Amino acid sequence: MDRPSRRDVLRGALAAGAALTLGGCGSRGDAPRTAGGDQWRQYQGTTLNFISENTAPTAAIAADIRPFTDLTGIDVRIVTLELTALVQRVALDLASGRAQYQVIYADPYQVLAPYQRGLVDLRTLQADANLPDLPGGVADFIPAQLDAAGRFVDRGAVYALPYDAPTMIWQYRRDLFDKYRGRMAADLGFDPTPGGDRTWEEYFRMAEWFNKNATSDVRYGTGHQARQHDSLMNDFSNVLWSYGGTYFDDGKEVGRLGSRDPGPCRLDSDAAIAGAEFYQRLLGIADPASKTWDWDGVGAAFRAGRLAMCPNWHEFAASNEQVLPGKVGYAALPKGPAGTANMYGGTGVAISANTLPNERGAAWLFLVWSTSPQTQLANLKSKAGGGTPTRTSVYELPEVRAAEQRPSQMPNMLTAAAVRQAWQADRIGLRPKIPMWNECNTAIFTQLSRMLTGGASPEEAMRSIKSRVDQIVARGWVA
Amino acid sequence: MSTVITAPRKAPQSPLEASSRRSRWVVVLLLALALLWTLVPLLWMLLSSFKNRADVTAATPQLLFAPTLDNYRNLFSGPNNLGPYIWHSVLAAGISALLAVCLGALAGYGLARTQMRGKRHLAFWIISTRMAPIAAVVVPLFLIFRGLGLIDSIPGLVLAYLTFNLPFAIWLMSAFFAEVPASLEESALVAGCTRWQAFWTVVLPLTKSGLVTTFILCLVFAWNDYAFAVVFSGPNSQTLPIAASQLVTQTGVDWGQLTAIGTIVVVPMMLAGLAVRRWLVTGLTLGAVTGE
Repeated sequence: MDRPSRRDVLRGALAAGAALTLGGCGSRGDAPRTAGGDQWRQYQGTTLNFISENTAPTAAIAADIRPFTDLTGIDVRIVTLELTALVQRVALDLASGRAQYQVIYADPYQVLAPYQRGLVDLRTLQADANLPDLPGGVADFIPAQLDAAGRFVDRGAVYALPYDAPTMIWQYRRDLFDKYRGRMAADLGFDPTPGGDRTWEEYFRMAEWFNKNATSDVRYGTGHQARQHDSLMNDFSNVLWSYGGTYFDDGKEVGRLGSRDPGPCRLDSDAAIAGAEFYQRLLGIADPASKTWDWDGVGAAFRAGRLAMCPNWHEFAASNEQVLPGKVGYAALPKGPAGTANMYGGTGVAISANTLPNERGAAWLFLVWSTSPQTQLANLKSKAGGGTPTRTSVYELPEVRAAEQRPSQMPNMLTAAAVRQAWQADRIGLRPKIPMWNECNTAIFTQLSRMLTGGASPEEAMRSIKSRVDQIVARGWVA
Repeated sequence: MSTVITAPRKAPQSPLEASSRRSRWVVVLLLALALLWTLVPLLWMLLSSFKNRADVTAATPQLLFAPTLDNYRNLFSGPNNLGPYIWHSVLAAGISALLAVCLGALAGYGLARTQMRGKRHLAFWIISTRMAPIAAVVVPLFLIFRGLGLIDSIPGLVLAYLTFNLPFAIWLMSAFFAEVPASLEESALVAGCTRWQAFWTVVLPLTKSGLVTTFILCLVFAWNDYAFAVVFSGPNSQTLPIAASQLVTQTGVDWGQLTAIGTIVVVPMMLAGLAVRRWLVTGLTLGAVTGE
């Protein structure tokens, strides 16, 4: 037999390549479905991929996914990524037209707002008689959280179900406040008990008092997450809002339902500049390492006994209780001249619009199960993490109520009184939910960092952010 | 009468000698600084991997502490068992480096020996693909891989790593082949070898250090890759750098486990580098023929 010529080999290789390409591009089969019978087992044999940030509830669900698999016969593979990587991966997955990840951890600002068109309106699944309904219905979710984490612009559509709810609150060394309360009250002229009735100005004076009078117990009165990072925007926003500053006109609505065209940035207002001036002053007496910390850094410093108090996410309570059992107290953040605000950082779970019909049904089963009251209760008890519930009914369960007091088997619940206040509609702090927020956020924390390191005055920093944000928003968003 | 013995007087140092001694000290100092710069983070990582959580996050760094293996133990137990990640990394990086060396040797040989117009431009174009930012290629590659069903698969990762390893391997190997005198092949051809036999039996053994260098460098690039792994891997193919990133969570960083993973990532590559350091040094200085 003749040896194949070079031309033959090339032709063969091209043919093989074409076959591989065509084979790969072929249509993908939907998940199998068993007609009739048990609603929960109709998609047994299906495999779902869930992409999530490595959050407390996802860690708990990953550690205890067995009940769902037993209930449905569906295998769930969970991929956890750091948030920036997750956003990139989700964007590519949505753009490709085929869902590798059927279930998506949909951060309201980085996934829901920019890519809302790539997510399923969950009302269609909720209305499907062949699928199980949400236990307690949508109304069981905390309303402000359902809007913030689940909706975008359209008041009716629901793109994600609230899944976690980290919220910034005031965390303080209760033992030190007990020890020094009398002296502090005498020196400062007010009752120093932390709570939503305290003002930021009083918080400042209390921190200053600790700096001068309690150095044998703690090195600094306050610490902050003021590194040039998303954390800085979070920490600053609490002060900004309480001073009456706002990122955009109608800021509460832009935060709650979101907007594609929020109008001009309002950080150049007198109130915003006053907030920035106070924040700069507060950081001037805070632990200097604050400028290198994100929430993890300030949390670790607080647990290490370096700080008397700090604003931080409420879900740090579980770690606090491990290291400083019984010594930490939790309160809503102080108020400013215009009120109070507690930054909310919750996220929802959503379904990719690239899913095929049966996959979509199977993904809905997972959403219903993972956000159900019994799963949220199991998460609260989980040794793998937990997070805190997003459903009103869970907070009303007697065992959850009991866990709000020490000794608590669900240490995150020790923050319940504080977060209940923080989640009230007039107190919850919602950053702008706009598609281009990620870029705006970078501009905000970059200029804030300049301000804190002496590179710009508060006024210059606020005007500079306004100018940059206006440029970004003017470009619009087409995805 | 006593004799006074005096030490022989040192000859006065010439300005040239003094300057040379000063330069030597400067070099030693710079090398010491470079060593510190390189080793301190690695040592810190290694030490932290044996610390418990309190020691890792202590406000002042602890040099004396009770060592624990908990961080390593935790990595290999529970839902996030590191075993599959290590296996995926070994497969993807190993196969990709091997393919890069094989294909790079063939293409590099062709590039070194072919006489054609625009050869220098072609060579530059090949290496320029290595210079492209990942962001520029990741979207088209993702769509192609998605179409071919290669997302979340080891072959997909191997191909992804080849996109940056192959140009590098071609470029490096072509430099090694250029060092081998063409007369050696001509002698082999005159002695009756075919072109392939001359390449296989004469040229390739002479570039052994180049092959090893290329393999190790490609292995390190692929082993450490995070950017491509984030995009192209999935539940069935996630690699070690992805496992490390998962420890950076919304509610904190698990520094103990993170440094343990860091150690697991770094040590195999250091050992591989040490095992072939003779070839690596020869190869990196491109003394492929004379150095052997």
